[in-house]
Amino acid sequence: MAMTLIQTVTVGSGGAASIEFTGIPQDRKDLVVLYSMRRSSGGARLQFNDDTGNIYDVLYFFGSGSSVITNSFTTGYIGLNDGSNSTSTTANTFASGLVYIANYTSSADKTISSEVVTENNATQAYANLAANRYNSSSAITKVKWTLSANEFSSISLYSIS
Amino acid sequence: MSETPVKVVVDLSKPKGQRESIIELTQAEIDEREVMATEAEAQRLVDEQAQADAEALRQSGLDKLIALGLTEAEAIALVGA
Repeated sequence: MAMTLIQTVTVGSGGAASIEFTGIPQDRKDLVVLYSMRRSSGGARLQFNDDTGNIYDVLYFFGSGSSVITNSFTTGYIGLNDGSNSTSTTANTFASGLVYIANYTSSADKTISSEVVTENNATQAYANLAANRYNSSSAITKVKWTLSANEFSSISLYSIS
Repeated sequence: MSETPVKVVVDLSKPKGQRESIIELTQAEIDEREVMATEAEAQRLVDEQAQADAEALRQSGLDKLIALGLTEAEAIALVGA
């Protein structure tokens, strides 16, 4: 098993609304995304192949340090809001996250695990661990990362072969 | 920088150095972001309320156990820290 960096994208001040990886090579086994992210407000979400329908199953655990909640639903994206840094966290701090996309070229539904933790020089910090499923027979050729407010740091896409 | 939000598109079928494009969002994409922000805020409020409810339940359980005669340490050992 080898983990190979495909591409790193770094977005400076001013930010970007989204980052899209297209033309993803189809000769690997799994994909891994490592990211550092901060959002001004609103949400962060992940979608594949421009699919926006309710074909993403999400089960997540969200810990605040004092309690943990869990939630599950089917929706049009994989949400990465909870745990992400926002304007309520210390300036110039960024959440750290990982997304593992297994068997991304398969014609069966794909499983995706994701985790993100807050960086904050204060008491408040969150962790979000999620198990997701992308219910599609299509191989993943495009990964789209969207923020509803412009801020980003960097995203690296790796392949596992 | 332009007032219009931009997206970074990375076409991995191209050679390195030629992959990244910065493209302004279409109006439809801008509208989608606004919907997304509204949905995210609603979800944040739901999650924060669930967190508060869970913490309140935990504290209520602790208080009742202590009222039954357990020490705080014993009650915490039962319900978790």
